Amino acid sequence: MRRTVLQLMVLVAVGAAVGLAYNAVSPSGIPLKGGKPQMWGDKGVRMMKLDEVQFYLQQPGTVLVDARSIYEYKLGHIPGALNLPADNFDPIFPKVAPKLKVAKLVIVYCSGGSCGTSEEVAKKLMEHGLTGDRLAIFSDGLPGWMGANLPIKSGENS
Amino acid sequence: MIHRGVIWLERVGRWIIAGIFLGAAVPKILDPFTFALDISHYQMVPEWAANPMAITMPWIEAVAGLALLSGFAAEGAILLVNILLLVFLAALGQAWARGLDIDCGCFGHSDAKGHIGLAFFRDLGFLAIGAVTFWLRLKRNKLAGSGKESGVRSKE
Repeated sequence: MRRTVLQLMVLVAVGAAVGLAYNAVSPSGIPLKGGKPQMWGDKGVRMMKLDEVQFYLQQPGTVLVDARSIYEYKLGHIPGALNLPADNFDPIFPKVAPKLKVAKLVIVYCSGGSCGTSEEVAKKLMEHGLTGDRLAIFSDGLPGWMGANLPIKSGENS
Repeated sequence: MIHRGVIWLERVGRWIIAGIFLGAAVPKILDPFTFALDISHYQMVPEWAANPMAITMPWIEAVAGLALLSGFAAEGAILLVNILLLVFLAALGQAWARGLDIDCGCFGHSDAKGHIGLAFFRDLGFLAIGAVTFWLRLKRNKLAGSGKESGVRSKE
């Protein structure tokens, strides 16, 4: 059993060492420190905090996209946001596409850090021709917005 | 005859787990950025730990997979994958219990986000294969040891 545990430790050490070495030389390497990446993927999609989102919403050509379900959107969303749910992307995308095509920056949000649907919608938008540098993800999502006591709106897609 | 059956069953079990772990490691090695995000979505480790885990864990999986495939340090590799599967099950289980709507990230990030509960049961199946393979490996070693004692040579 001691030999088995020793083998296990050697395998973990070798794997970790190779991983660190590969990360240091790989073009897709990420910083070892620095916590959660501030970019998503390697196409230039930015992860934004609330203050950045508020700044860009004041700039002309910024479009906000709510990646949550139609039901959740109806209950409450950030004013001006378009609803483009990850689970209903294909039928809704053509309706919002004209606004997205002329946007300088599209910021996608969902229910905060754990939801993951913003990333899905961002990826699909890139597949539909939106470049990563015109895309951002609001990492704190609606909970971050509401936590700052900012207004929300209810109702159908804008 | 039983000895040969144990050898082949253990070998097939190892190869199956090796295939799973190598298949899981490659997409994560190629895109550590997205994997770091997937890890952070589990809300299970502090944010500073997401990047180091995303950098090292896929390579540990790959090294374990190669060891299982080659038979080098096989006992340690089988034990390692079983421990990793237990960790994955704990992560998936807590995410499922908390109702987190996240991508598993198990085989890299997927567009077709499946239910986290399905990933939990899939990993439970992998763990069953891993546990049986470990038991077969121990049995095989025992049989090889008794074979040597009685003068019968092991095939491997």
